[in-house]
Amino acid sequence: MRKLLIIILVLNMLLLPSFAIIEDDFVNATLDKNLKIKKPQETVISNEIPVKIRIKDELTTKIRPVEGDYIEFETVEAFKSFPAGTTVKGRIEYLSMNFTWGVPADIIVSNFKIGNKPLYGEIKSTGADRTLWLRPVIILSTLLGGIGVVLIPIRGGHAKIKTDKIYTVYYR
Amino acid sequence: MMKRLLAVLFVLGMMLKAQAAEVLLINPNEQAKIQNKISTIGFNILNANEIPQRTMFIYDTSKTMNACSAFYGRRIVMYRGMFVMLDDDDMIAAILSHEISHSIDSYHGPFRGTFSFFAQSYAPKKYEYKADKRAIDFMVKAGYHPVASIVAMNKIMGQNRYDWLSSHPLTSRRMMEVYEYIYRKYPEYLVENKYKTNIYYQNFLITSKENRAKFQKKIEKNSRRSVNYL
Repeated sequence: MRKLLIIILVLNMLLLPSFAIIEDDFVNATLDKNLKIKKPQETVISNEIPVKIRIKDELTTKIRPVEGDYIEFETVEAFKSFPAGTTVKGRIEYLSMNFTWGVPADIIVSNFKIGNKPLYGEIKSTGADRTLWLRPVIILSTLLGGIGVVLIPIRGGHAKIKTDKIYTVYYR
Repeated sequence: MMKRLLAVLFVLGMMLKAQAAEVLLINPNEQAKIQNKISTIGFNILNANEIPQRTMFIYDTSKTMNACSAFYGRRIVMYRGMFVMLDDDDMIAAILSHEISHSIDSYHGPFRGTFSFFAQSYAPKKYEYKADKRAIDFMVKAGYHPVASIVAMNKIMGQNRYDWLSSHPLTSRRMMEVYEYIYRKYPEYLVENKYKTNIYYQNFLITSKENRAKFQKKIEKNSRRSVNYL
């Protein structure tokens, strides 16, 4: 009887559908296994100091930067123990290139650091949005005379962060 | 004449009956609980990210499987059809964060963003990719697991045939862009991935094999060019 039960159990196990867990080998091979998630801490925001900064070299999507690139800024005025002209690093957090049909480029820089201290805030820039007039013109002129399609390759403007513009981020 | 009137009344009656049936199915207490959950998660994301633009969250009990950012009134609406597809708070946060990004964009442009509706509907793909990526940042800052975004997309969204024929990017591409974004910015969430054995994430790993191989090549070559995912 016992043998019969064992046979039935083994047969059952063999006949049961089995599922394999798929591992992400790429992640396992390339990322450090000791990386740990840092949960955001609750912080009390008070006594924010506005810090005026400007970019050292003009940033434009024309030069095809990528997300994750670090960009250098400098402080315009002295604050705390940092003199004017202190380097502030910011990271390109989001970027999209300009496109046909007048779609503009977009760039967002944040994650600022002065020395090892973080600065809070973000700088956004969007190129000239030509979709608003270009799309109706393309559609109407195509319907009326068929020439609108030649306008499709017109791209939107490049996003720029210029050296003469001053931005404000915050020190906490 | 009488026949027509009867036909119209019959159709109206059927419509009212269907609506009444739907209303009866909804428990007001349950509805209040869900509304509270959505508002709490939504405002948690707004506050954690210190988003200076106003928006609010509404739970709509219709069966539509969607969530949207209403351009007029800047309200984020999550429909019941969508809500029932979401398994945990992280997945709800994924959907709300995406819509918050759209809502922020509705503030941009002249006349307090009056024309931003056209900008977003003329270039929907650009804004969808942007919302997907910004959503990851919002989620991480608010303490949610960003991989939930891939899980939610894989569970909820279909797959169109051609990218150029659809208003939204192919879901497979969107998921890969999000995966790449998490890999580069928040790799710890792929290492400590609580969705590792989730069936929808497992399915993503199966269906994205080719795309992930492309991404692997990009990383190996240290390339800065964007990958044309399938």
